[in-house]
Amino acid sequence: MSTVLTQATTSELDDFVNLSAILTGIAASMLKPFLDTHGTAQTYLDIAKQKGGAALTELMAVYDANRTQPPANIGTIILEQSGDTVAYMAKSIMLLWYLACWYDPQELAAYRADPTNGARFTVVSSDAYTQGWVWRVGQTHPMGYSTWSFGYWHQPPQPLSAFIGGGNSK
Amino acid sequence: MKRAIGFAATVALSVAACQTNDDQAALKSSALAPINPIVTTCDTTSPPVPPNVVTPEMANSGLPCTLTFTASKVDLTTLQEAFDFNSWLTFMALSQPVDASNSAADLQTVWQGWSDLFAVMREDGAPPLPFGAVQPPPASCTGAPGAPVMRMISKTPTTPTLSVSGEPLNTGPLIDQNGHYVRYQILINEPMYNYIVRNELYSKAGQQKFTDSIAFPEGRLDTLTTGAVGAIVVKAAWKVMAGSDDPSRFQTTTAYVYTPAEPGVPESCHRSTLGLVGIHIVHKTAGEPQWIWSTFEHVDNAPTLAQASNVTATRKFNFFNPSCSTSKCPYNRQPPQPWNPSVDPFPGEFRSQIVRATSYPTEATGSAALWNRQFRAAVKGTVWENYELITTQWPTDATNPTDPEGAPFPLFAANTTMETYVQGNTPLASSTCMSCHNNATTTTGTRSDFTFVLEKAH
Repeated sequence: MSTVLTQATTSELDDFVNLSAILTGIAASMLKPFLDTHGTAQTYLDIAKQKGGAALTELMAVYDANRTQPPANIGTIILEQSGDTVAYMAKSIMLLWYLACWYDPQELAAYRADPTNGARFTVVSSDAYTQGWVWRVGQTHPMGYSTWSFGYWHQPPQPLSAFIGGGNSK
Repeated sequence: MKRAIGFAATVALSVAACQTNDDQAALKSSALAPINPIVTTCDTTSPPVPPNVVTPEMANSGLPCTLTFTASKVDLTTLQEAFDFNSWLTFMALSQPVDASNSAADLQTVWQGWSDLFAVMREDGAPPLPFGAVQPPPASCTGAPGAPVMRMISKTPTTPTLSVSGEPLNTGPLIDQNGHYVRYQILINEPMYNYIVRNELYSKAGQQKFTDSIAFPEGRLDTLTTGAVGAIVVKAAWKVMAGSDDPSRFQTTTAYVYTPAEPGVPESCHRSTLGLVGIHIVHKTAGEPQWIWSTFEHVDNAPTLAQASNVTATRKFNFFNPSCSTSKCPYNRQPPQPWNPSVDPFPGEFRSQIVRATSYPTEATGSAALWNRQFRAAVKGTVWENYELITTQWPTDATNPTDPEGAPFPLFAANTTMETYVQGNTPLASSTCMSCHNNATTTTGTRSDFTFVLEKAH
């Protein structure tokens, strides 16, 4: 869960991004670049507010109350000590960033209780699909879409830190 | 580059067509000159801060060697405005007449005097013609020598007759409201030409010998107005002036409209006056190794998708008929087969019904509208008031080690005359300059630095 936080601000979007950085392990500056060409963070915040409602409010309140703690502690508080509503909302946000899909928190809870029922999800958009962090964490790219240049496959991949920021080096 | 602009409907062309001994000597001489020579005339004009506006002097202040950005606030809006302002300065600088002192006789623009793709990538792999020399017209063409030859009807110039089993970019021809095929031309400036010649990249054999990474020269500013221009490519789209077209509203040229023989397509050539309807200007700079991609169109080309259903019937477009229903004239539909540019005008009733279908973020639409309004007012009374910037695509993160495209903005960009059938906002499927050209290679399959020019080598 180690990550790099951007300077804390009171803006709703920045709080959402900083919380997302803790949950995903991806630097906030990567989730929301200074020149944000895709606007993914705002898109995901809008979805989380629309779909998550009170659960997001509760999650953000937990984050706000603990924002000065080390990131790993915040993660533990959210995922293990604040109840299912907060924990599953957090997991929905993690999946949103990684897979560019919205999984309703109740779907995740039901899936936990009965893994034979696959959790339903919605792909956010074709643009979001290309921005799913699962691809970059895997140092690769989604099927049918790549920003790499022709012949990249015969070069060693960049270190993981180049993809997700922070101190990860492999 | 600070000359006033003069215009006329027809460009008289003066460059000799044949490669002579003098030309050979000039070619050898060019091999000794610096590839990207130092210039002392880089334009460093900054965008005017409101309430100031673009003046005629500012609009014609010269060619930027690289982006000048001085805004106190750095965000997508201010940067887009800086790049769009840079695009207009570049467009106007390159549209200056070659010989301003004799504008009544020669109104060829700077970029029209550059080297044509086919004069560089010759069919026999021979060394290019001297910089700016016009290729000899095919034997089937008649008339005065020296006129450029327009043969491209698609993005695949070596296959001018399109086929349904075509290449990925073989998306179809564009037919204007008079039934004529739109023709295309690719030209490169002297630093780019020099780089190709010096490294013998004009032939397959030369490319096989070349073992370094392809890196075209960059525009840069060293001190004050001293720097280097770097590589620039222009792609121009032209329509035949016919019917009720008003040539005084267009930058025009006289050219041979040539269609080489293909299976089922006889060779043809005719001399016509053509009007400029679209132009890409692509400039490599030190700060933008993914190049800066500027695209302009004639203002009469096509309405936007949102405007299309409310256009008055009397409004004249180059590629849209307001009086034709969507059921009879569906938007952005490719012409029916066969595509045979030797049969011109296009047989039957089909005419391209084109709408502008790529959506741009507000930063881009606002910026383009701002500078289009100001520059078109500044050049009022010239043909250039009839052209508009569609957008400028630029890298927001040029040195990102995991994104060779440099995180382009806007994400999508399309000119209705050149990316007609790949407009839109769907990743991979829709037109985006840098993402597409990031895949460009030489004939050996190595990266060619964002240009498809080198893959045309024989």
